[in-house]
Amino acid sequence: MSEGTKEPDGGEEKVVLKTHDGQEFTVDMATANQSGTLKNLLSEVGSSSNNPQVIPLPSSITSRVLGKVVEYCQRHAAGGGRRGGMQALEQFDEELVELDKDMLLDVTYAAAFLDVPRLLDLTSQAVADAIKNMSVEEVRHYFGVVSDFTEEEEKVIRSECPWAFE
Amino acid sequence: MAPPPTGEGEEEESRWSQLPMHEMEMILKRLTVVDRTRVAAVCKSWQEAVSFLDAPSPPPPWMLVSPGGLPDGRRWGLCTAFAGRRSLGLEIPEKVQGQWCCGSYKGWLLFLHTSAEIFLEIVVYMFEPHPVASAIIPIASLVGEEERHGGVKRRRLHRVLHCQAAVGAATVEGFQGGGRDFFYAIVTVWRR
Repeated sequence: MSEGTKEPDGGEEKVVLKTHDGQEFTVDMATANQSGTLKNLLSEVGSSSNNPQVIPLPSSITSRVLGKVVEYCQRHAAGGGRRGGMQALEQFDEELVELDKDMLLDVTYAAAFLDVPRLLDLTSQAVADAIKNMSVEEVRHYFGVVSDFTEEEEKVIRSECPWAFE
Repeated sequence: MAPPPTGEGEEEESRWSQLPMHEMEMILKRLTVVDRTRVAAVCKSWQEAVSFLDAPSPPPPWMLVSPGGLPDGRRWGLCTAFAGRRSLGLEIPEKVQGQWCCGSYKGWLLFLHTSAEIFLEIVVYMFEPHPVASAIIPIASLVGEEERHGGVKRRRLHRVLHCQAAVGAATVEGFQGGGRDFFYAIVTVWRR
């Protein structure tokens, strides 16, 4: 995958993020520091361009998912000053989370694990937008969630707040 | 290497319904009360998340403000301050404009509407003035019965309604009697 290639970016400090499926993402410190988790970790262990720190990631963060997170962090490390300003950055954000629901969930988990708050905001907003105005059945179908309420419990819930189920 | 395509298998079911509390909170806080109520009806773990997050916490007080100039019911608004840093204004929704705001409870405002036909009917609305997700919920509608006592006609709204909503429950009791325009209503709202 193209996200997995190394980023030539001068002689700055680098860090290597290694996914469980064996892909390595070499990123600069500004990119890594977008993640609170990595920032904390790197402030402890440090890293250099000659001997970059290799950080193994949990299996839940596949290379495809990490690719998305790295894409986000690289773009945001550059900030709104580059490539068309804040408007372009907002558009980038919007397009980044145009994902199918499985990928959206994976990126949500990754953003939470790596502590990238703004990315978590974006994925949460995307999930909320999907849920908005859906009926209970539609939400269940969309997310593949099976109800674990008894028929009796369902009845009680609906009779308590009929306005929500109209 | 691409991850294996994930379908609608059993594993997916549990993954969405087992979303941790923090991630659920991030999603739920972007939804309206009505949407959150629907989310709570999806499965038990989501119900738990919604009830946990909607648990009472003291909300900032809301103030009724006029932007100045001539009094204009439509221009009145609600305003609150968060963390003492910035204030958030919110226009009063059309549905409760011109109605009598007769109380508030745990961040909700209670509006009482009497119809043009004097006290023929009262409708009670609860309004949650949340800047992200505001909601108006009709709590109860009462229709009175006309009575005659001696030579005095009076309307008595004596039905007591218990209308449960996700946010709580309300008991509304209304009476009209005595003088011509004398009316009062007792409205009690509480949270379950």
